[in-house]
Amino acid sequence: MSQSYGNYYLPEPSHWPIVGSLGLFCTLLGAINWLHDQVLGPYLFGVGLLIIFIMMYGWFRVVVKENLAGLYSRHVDHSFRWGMVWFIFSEVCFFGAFFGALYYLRTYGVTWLDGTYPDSSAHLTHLMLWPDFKGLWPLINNPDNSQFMPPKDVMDTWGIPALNTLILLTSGATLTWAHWGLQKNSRWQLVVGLFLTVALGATFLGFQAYEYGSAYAHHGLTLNSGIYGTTFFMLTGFHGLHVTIGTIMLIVMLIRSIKGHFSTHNHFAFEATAWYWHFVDVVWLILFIFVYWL
Amino acid sequence: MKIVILIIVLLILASLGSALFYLARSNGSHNLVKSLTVRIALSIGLFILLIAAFYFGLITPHGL
Repeated sequence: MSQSYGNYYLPEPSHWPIVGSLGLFCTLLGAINWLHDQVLGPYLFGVGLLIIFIMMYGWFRVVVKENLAGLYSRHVDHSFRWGMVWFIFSEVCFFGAFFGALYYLRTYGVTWLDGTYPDSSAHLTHLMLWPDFKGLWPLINNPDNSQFMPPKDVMDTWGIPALNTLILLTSGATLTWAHWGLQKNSRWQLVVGLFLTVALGATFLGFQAYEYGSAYAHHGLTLNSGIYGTTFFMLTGFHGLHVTIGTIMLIVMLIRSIKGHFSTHNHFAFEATAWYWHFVDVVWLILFIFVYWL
Repeated sequence: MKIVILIIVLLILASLGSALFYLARSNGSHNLVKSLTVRIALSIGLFILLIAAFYFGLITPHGL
């Protein structure tokens, strides 16, 4: 039986950690087999992911129940907050690496190959390897177009990307409105604000799926069309994954808000989700500026 | 124009960072929502600035 001893909280024995380990094991084993074209690979991968999702649902359910039962002290609350901070730190590193890759290839990689980097040895690289290559970003001409079919043109800035930026910014505003509703103890404002945020998040994902279809069908921008295509899909794709995760988190917050789980003074789960959504929003804004504008 | 955009991006990151600081504190709830409000206000302002700068010919997509 779970008990709270002063500052410390002693949870009851749980099977969820070992279930999570089993899920991770199946996922990775499946991925390895998939890469080696083994028939079982994708199925094992899928089963592994399913086990992880079941584990997350079950374990979070336990945590919510423990919270509602009043088992969490201020000390436990503090540890949850720092857990979120370290998670965010890993997320910043994750996206930092991708933005770093974009900066590196635009500032160094491409300029080494097209000979515009201010260094004589780089100019020699250009002359010896691809003397005809002109590195105008976004690259619609690759150093060797026979190996990687370049895109026909660059992705539009106006249209879906700008619309999606507006949608995400609006979702940030509706979420902030919901957040103020929680602060004022207005449940209808909290619920309506969260509902609108979830709807806007889902709309963003729908538009992004449409944009990907358009990239492949009309612009010839694919994962095989050179460094522009790979960075485009890597950055926007992983961002889309985060919007998906954020939307799921917001749906859970919406359900919990309807059930009345949050109070003005006890709503860390909402705060963490709200911060995460704002983070995802900022990543998109930076992405919109650096991928489409600068 | 590029400098102005970068400064606003840095301010957005600062307000988000400030919100994270308050998220880590048990009694930072009110300051957290205030920081996030500043964050979203700056972001909407930046988006409007981008559109205005484009309209007045100060910046073009993929202009650099």
